[in-house]
Amino acid sequence: MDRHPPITNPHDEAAHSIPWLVNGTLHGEAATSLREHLAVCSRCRESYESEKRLYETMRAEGPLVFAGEPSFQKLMARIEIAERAPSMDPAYEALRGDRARSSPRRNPSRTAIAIRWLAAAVLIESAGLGLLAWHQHSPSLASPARYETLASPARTYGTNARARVVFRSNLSLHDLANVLHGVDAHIIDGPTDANVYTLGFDDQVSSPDQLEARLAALRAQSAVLFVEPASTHGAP
Amino acid sequence: MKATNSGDRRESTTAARNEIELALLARIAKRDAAAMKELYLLYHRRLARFLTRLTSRYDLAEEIINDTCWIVWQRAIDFRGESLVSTWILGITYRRALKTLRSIGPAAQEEIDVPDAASEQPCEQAELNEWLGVALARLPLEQRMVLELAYHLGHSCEEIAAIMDCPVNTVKTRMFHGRRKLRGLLLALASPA
Repeated sequence: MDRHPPITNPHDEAAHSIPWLVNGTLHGEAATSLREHLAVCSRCRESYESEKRLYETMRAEGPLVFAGEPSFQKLMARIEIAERAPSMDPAYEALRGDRARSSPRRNPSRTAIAIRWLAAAVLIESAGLGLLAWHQHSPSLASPARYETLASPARTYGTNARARVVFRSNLSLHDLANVLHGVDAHIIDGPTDANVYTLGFDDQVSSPDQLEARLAALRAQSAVLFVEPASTHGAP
Repeated sequence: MKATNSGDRRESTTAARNEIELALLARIAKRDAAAMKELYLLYHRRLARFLTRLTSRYDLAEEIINDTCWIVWQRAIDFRGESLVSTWILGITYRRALKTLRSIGPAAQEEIDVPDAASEQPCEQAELNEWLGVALARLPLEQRMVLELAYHLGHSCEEIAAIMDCPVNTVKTRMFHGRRKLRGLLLALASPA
């Protein structure tokens, strides 16, 4: 299909050039020569008029309006997550692969050392957390498992961590629950007239960085159209 | 002379826009999120329309836009200005869109018999209004891309060749066959069975 058809006469030449005259990108000698041909050839003129109708129909703006802001928030959340933990983003890995093929590696020995240090740090941290968990929970090992029922007392959540969120309008209850479980959040107020919900987070969210990480995770969800941190005072 | 003036005007507008976008890319290379947002919003509307028409799904369009802009964020530092910024960005979008569209595969479509003579006839406005979307969706992907890039986004033949990374003659040929097939499809779709 990509074989270029031989151009043997002015009509064929016109047939190949008309689209570029129609979209305003044919200039100079080629445009002048085509205009001269169109002035004397009714068949090509008819083809030009038909092409112009096609161009104008395709160019016409439809009724859809696309909001860039929520999509941009998702992009920034993705950038933030990828730059904190690059190996989690497959596109980042593909890009790293391209770069590795097209440019020499930088300081491989320094990278290897950093990875070893990181691995050692993770092992030490895991051992420390294990000890802490054993120390805190060992007296209750014999006690029955904890279940939450509808009659259980309500859990308490961090008093400072709040977010205002707008969910996609056709979100199912199941998907909403998944979003909330994914970031350990609960709806504490809303929806407002503008369908804004206020979310509270668990007690683990005690610093601005932790809150920002949860907000970033929310922004990365396709079910979430808008997220911003909220003050703990006042309405959502 | 009129044509030359309009050509000059287009070139100077394009050059001015490119200067603005180059300045934004330089800031993005330094990890300036505000510049990224400005560039993102400059492109979001036209890319969203272009990709929503191609994929018929806004979620896919958004995914392709964000893949594209994510690569722009990562590679702004490597951009040396060998092409217009818009050509570079559209080139990335084109490759991401091709990859996505090939991964989801073509939608099952009923075969339409297009008589040869039909593709020689001009299209009428009523056929265009009613059947254009359906007919475009039935074109081979590369032919459709050329038509969308030229007519929907207004790119020149040379710019499209750079975006699609192919010779200018290939673009002209895809356009020629794409228009021919589109005319045939529009007439066949508009004719009662």
